Order: sequence, then C-alpha cells, then structure tokens
Amino acid sequence: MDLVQGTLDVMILKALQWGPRHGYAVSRWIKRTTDDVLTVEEGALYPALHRLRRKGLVESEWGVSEKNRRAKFYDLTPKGRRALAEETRSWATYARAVEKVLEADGPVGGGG
Amino acid sequence: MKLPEGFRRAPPPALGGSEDDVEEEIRFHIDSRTEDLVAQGVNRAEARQRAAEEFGDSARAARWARRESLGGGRMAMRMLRWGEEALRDLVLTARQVRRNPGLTGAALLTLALGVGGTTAIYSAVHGVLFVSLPYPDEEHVVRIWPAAPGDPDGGRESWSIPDMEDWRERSRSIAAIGAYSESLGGLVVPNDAGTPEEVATAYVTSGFFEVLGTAPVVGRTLPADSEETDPRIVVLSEGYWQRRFGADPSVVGRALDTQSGTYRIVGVMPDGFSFPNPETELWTFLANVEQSSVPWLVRQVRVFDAVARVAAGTGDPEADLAAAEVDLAGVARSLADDLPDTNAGITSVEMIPIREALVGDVRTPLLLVAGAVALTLLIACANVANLLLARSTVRRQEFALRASLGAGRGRLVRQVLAESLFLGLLGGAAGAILATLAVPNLVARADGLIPRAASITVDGSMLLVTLGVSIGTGLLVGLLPALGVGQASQRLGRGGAVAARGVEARGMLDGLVFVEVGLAVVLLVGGGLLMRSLAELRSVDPGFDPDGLLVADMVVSGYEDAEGYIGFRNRLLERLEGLPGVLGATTAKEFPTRGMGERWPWALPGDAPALPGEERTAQALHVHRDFFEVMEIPLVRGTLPGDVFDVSLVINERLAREAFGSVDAAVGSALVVTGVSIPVRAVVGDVLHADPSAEPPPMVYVDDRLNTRRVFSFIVRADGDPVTLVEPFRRAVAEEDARQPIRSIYTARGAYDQAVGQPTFFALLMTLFAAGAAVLAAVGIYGVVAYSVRRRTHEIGVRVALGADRGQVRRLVMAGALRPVLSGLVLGLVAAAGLSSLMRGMLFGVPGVDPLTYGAVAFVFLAVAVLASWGPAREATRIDPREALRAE
Repeated sequence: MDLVQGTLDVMILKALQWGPRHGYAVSRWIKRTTDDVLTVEEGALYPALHRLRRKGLVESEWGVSEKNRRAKFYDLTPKGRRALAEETRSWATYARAVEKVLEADGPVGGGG
Repeated sequence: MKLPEGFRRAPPPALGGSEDDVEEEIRFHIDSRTEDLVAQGVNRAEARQRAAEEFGDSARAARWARRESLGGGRMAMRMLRWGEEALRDLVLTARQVRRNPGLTGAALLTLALGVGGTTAIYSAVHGVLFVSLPYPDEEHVVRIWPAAPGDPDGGRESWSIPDMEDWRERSRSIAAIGAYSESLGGLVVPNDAGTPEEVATAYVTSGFFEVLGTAPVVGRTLPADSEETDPRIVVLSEGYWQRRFGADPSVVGRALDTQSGTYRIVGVMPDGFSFPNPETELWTFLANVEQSSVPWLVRQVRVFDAVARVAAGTGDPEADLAAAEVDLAGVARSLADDLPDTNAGITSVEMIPIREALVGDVRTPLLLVAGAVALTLLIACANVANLLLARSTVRRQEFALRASLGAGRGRLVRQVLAESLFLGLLGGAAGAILATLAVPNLVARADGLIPRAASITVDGSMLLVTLGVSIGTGLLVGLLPALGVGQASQRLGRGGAVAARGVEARGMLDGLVFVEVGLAVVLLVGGGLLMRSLAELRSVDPGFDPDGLLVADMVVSGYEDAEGYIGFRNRLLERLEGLPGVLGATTAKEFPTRGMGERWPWALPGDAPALPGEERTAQALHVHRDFFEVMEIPLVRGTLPGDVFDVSLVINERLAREAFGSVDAAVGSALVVTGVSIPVRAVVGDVLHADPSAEPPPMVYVDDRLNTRRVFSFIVRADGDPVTLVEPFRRAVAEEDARQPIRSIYTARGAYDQAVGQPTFFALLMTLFAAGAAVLAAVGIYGVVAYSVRRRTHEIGVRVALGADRGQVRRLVMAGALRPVLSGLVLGLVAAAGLSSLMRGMLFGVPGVDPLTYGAVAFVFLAVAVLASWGPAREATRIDPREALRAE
C-alpha cells in the first residue's frame, strides 16, 4: 500500500512511546503491529534513527546485558514527544478527510 | 533514560573510541534476528545467513547512518553521497530496463528512429549548406552576369569573351574574373579498351582558376596568362586521375591523346573541387575551341558563364560586394557608351555569392525537411514521455514506498531522469548507427538532385550533435514524469494524499496527445501539400509524348567539314530507321527538357531596332526533318516542312501570341530573326523546358543545317519499350563509325522524371517524416486512451453499476480520447496555414491553404483517433462493475 514520506520517522517515534528500545526492537514492533504489512527496510532504519537523533527528537545510550552484550537504546526527547503528538493529529485529520470522501453518497465526480 | 530490564548502563566509551559505533549496532541487530530465527527452529548457520540477507547491505546502512548523524552541512559528504546514489540510480535503471523489455524496446526504437533521422538530415543540411567550399575566402567569390535592366526577358545576360576582357580592364573592384562553358562538348579520349569516350570538359579562360583559388593535388592549374603558354594543356579531376591513371603522381607532363589533338597534363584538382559541375573531369582553355564552332571572339556571342573574385577592400565581404556592384555598373555603362551597337542596353551587373549560387535553390527545401525531422523527433519524445509517464503512474507505489523509507524528492526525480537519460543515450547510440547506415543511401538518392550531395557525411561533429540531441531528448522525455514524481512526493511530504489518482498525470497525458497531434498535423499538411504539388507537376503536359522515346546525345568529331558530319548523321539515321521496333528517328541540337538551344533576339519587320540586351528573345532550336512527327508535337496551324525548311520558320504558340497576337495571324507573316526577315510557315504546340513549373518558353525551330556545331541529340520513337533499343542503337553507332562516342543515352520519360527529381525527392522525404509522425501520434493516442481506461476501471465500474449502458461508456471513453485530438487538430491546422507561406516557393498549382489537403489530414487524424480509441472503448464496455469495485 502507499506510504507517506516521513512515515518511517513517525512510526519510529511511535515505537519509542512506551520507553527505550533498540533498533531491532523498533523494527520488530513495526512489523508486528502492522500485521506484517509493513517491513521496515533495515538499510533505512538506522539512518532514520540517526537522523531523528540529530534533529533532537530522540536520544540514545549504550546498554550492556547480563551476558555482556552491548545494545544501543533510543528514547523520545520531549521535543520528540511533541512531534509525535502533532503528527498523530494531522494523520487523524487526513484520515477523516479521506473517509468523508470515500463515504460520500453524491454522484461520482468527473475526473476527465 | 531508564533502560529496559536486563540491561544496565554501559560505561562511557574509552577515549578515542567512537560513541556512534553503528557497525556494532547493526551487528547486534543481526545477532538478535539470528537468535529469534533459531528460537523458531531454524538451524544456526541458516539463521545467520537469513538475518544478514534480510538486512541487506550493512556497510552501506552504516555509512548512511553516520552521515545522517553528521547532518547535511558537509559538502564533501554530500558529494560522496550523491555519487553513491547516482551509481545506485544506474543499477536501478538497469533493473527497470530488464524488468520492462517491451516498454524499453518500444521507447528505444522510437528514440533511435527520431535521433537517427535527425542526425541524417542534419548531416545533409550541414554538408550542403555549411561545410565550407574549397575556395579560399569564398565570401569574395561570386557568380557574375552583365545585366540589361530594360530587358523584357529579365535582366541577366550571358557573357561574351570580349565583354569580359573589357570589364576586367576597366574595373577596379575585381581581383580576377574567368569565363567558362561546360556545354561545348567534351574532349574525346579513347578509354582503356580503345573505345572513344567523351570526357566532360569545362572550357575556361585564364582567370578561372585564379578566381577559385583552389590548390591542385599535384602539378599546377591552368596559368593565369594563357598567352604565354601553349593552350593545349589540361587539368584533370581527382576522379578521372584515379580512374584513368591510378592516381599516379607522375602523370604531370604526360600527354593526353584526344580526337582533337594531344594535350599535356599539367595538374590534378582535389576531390570535392566540382566547379562548374560535379561531373566535370577536365579543364582546358577556351582557346582550344575553334571559331568555326563557337565564334567566341565575337562580342555578340554571349553564351558564357563567369565567376569573379571581388577585391577584398574593407575586409567586410558584404561591403566589398556592394562596392563592386557600384563600380561594375559604372563599367557596364561606360562600355555601353563606347560600344552602343553591341552593348547599349547592358548597363548593370548582377552577382551572387558562390555558395548562394550553388545551394540557394535547395536551402528552403532542406531547412524545411530539417524542420520536419525536428518535429518528428519532438513527437517521438512526446511518445516516449507518454510511455514513461504512464509507467511512472503505475510505479507510484514504488516511489511512494521509497519516499517513505527515506528517499528524498530530489533523489526520486533524479532516478526518473537517470532512467530517461539512459534511454536517450541508448536510443541516441542506436540512432547514430542508423544514421551512419542511412546517410550513404540518402547521398546516393540525392546525387544529382541536390548540389554538393557528395559532401554529406556523418562525421565526428555530427555525432557530437547527436550526443547533444540524445541528452536533450533523454531529459525532455523524463521531464514530465519527473515533475509528476516530484509533485507526488512533495504532496506526500506534507502528509497529503497520494490518492489524488493521477489527475495531473492525466492532464499531462492529454497535453502530450494534444502536442503530438498538433505537430503531426503540421507535418502531414506539409507532406500533403508537397505531394499534391508533385502530382500537379507531373500532370503538366510536356507538349510532346515522352513515352517510347529514346534519346542519345552525341558530339560528332573527326570529320573535316560540315558535309562529313552531316553525312554521318544522315547515314546513322537511316540505320536507326531500319532497326526493328523503330517508328521514326530524327535529330535536334538539344533534347527539349535537357536544353532548348540558343536564345535568339527576334523582332517584327519595321520595328525600331531594340537596344542590345533589350531585344525580345526566343529559344532557337535546330531540328532535323520529322522532328515534330517523331516527338509528336501537335501542329496548330500551317504546314510542317518536309525534308528541308526552305527559308521559313516554325514557331510555337507562345511566340505566335507574343509576336502576332494570335496563332492565325502568325502563319504567313514574317519574323525578323538574326537580322533577317523570314516567313512563318507553321505554328506548333508549346514544349516544356526542364522545369515543368516554369512557363514554356517562346520558341523558333530552325533547320538543322544552320547548326554550326556538331552537336546532335538523336531521337528515336520506339514501338514499345525504348530501353530495348539501347543496345541496337550502340551497335548502329559502332557499325557506322566506331570513333564516335555517345555522350549519354536516356529515355525521354527518364529525362522528364529527372526534371521533377528534386521536388520528388523533397516531397518523398517530407511525406516519409509526416507518415512516421502520424504513426507515432496514432500510437501515442492509443497508449493514452488504453491507459486511461485501465486507470478509470473503477470509475467506469461505478458508472455501469449506476446504470450506464455500453453506449454511454463507449461515448465517455471516446469523448475523453477525442478531446485532446480535436484541439491538437485545430491548433495543427491553424499552425500549418501559418507556416505554409514558408513553402510557397516549393508549391506548384496548389494554394498554401489547400482545402483538399487540410480536409484529408483532418479526416485522417479523426479516423486515427477513432480507431485508436475504439479498442480501449470496447474494453471499457466489458468491465464488470463487481470486479472493478472489488479490485479497488
């Protein structure tokens, strides 16, 4: 299905809403949540994470597991949280607009 | 940040270590995925491999990520990234090409034809109009004529040698002047087999080579001062040198044995030196022509052409030419004052730069064809843009996905442009190959019809032009799709809808059809007008029956006196008349359509003598008995002469009307020609000169015994195909006198066809491009309509569901298809009417706004549009509303 540019960014922000995750967890969460409809291209995931960090929407920190495995975690900054809220609102507006169009019962318009 | 359970904060990185260890991050990702897969029961080795494959190019992702974290501020990084992405664009392009071989093939073929045609035609334009002539400082070299402003036949006079000598002596503005004639009969040289061969010879005065200034390949040219040397010297053309002497440089100084004596070879002119004719193979002094044949020492014998080199005074050629014109007009007037008996009316000069004189006639048609091929290329571009645009709408999903995964707008636009550029270059390469193959063919066809055809080649500079055209084409065809993608992704970026469902793409497609149809209509109108004009030309009655006539031009030589060669002529005619299949045979000095004899002044008895140069003139052609019968030129009044003309004239209708007001008044009246009053005994029908679009000239037919030159066109009427008589004719000549060469042998029909060869050539070229353009436009219309039906399947489904019947659906689709076609048609017709004035000089018997042509083109395009939309419209009526709606 069609995707919106920047959707990946928004989805990453959403994935981080409930606390820090590492990149792999973000990609699994998106895949699971969309019932496998969307597979994030890993090649784009990490650049996106780093871009978001540069923009100050997320912050990152390295963690170590008991087994001494190192993983880098990302978390929303307050700015990231605000951006997520705003994107969610505009998405809802858009979705409602489309819905109105699709459910209109007037005659089908021209279109050339 | 509070890390999830199971993780503790990592110690700060060691000094010098990288905090952004993306590689480690990615390693962790792949390891985690591997563990997940192992947990699902995949064995470890396979799991690791699958995890790595799913991730793709990890090194690249790491690089990107690092750059993203650095931000866009660093130019070098940006450049690096750009280069890398451009490389990736190429890979994507190659993949697209592989995925769509049909579409790619169609696009490539279209572009190859467009670019190939353009290259070929522009090679021709370049070679004919722009490649410099082999004459140094050619801007100062002119064709020149004395002019009589009061001349009722138009002012241009031919030169006599005494006139030319006086002009040279009296003028200050001429650096050199040379007269020449190419129609005095060539030197007859036995070829290697010993058979006599007439070699095309130009007889020139001493200034000729000085004017042109071309350096010989070997030896020297004819010296500027003929009086100091033996005139029996000759310069060879490169072609003749190759053919006869194997390009042997030691040929200089050797003897060339001809039937009229031995000439010494002094030099060889280079390939491409083709003045006055591409056929000219020998140049020698006019001094070798005897006064008994052409009395060229007589001032009134004005039969020569001349070239001059204008003195380079100011350095600006145009100013120099203008100054020379003033100076030479003064010279002409002073001569007219000094020699009123011979020069009174000749008081002016006409000159044309040599290039203009050589190619002026074909400039307009060539540029027109070049315009046609440019339009065809544009249509080809529109078609390919069409294909790409339709596909880019189909690929919207791909682009949207890539946009969502981080590809920027510029990136996507660039990918589309990379693809079209790739197509353009590939198509251009194929086009260059096509052009290289086509040009020799074109040259062969144009030879003899277009001056300087031999200088048409596809060379490096043309291929450079082709490269430019290819790149331009590639960008042009990619522009609209790229804009489409750009808009789409821009809208996406604002969080808007993709689902606007290509309304703007639809507008673009219609726009393309509109443009294509408009251009194709202009081309078809142009081609149609030329074809109509050609048909008119060909339907002009030549005034005689050209079918069944065989003609052989001969210059008889080797006889002591007139009795000798007239005896030969008569014996040969007897032999010819005795051949089976021959209805009749005769001779004339020249064959009408090839030549019309000499220009003679005429007057009525009692007329005040006209000033020299201002006399009324008629073409005088020396003909033998039975000429009118063999040619089947109709007798209008009076009686045809039998064996001899006695002292009487046969004139044509045109002259009868001009001189006597009517045909009836002419017979029995007297006409003063060459100063003698002679009664007119008959009036015959008009005969066309070479150019059927010109009025037939007024003519006087004179008894052949008055012919001082030994030039004959033998004309034989065959009972059937005249070509079968060629061999018997040659045998008859060989049997009668093996020394006599046949200059050329041809059918009258062939000569007549050749006379319309140039208009035929251009009409066919134009029609070729017009037809190609029409086919491209038809394909374009079909593609757009078919695509729009596919795209509107849903909408049509809804309409059918809401009760639209098949007729309504078909009308809907066809109306949608016809709208841009109709507007394109109207625009095209209006534009063609505007542009047709450019063609006025090329049209004969057809008005520029010819209702028949315009109507036919309009009909063709409507038919094409209806046919092209019929299939898709039918398809649309078969749409099942349930499936259409479900598919959405």
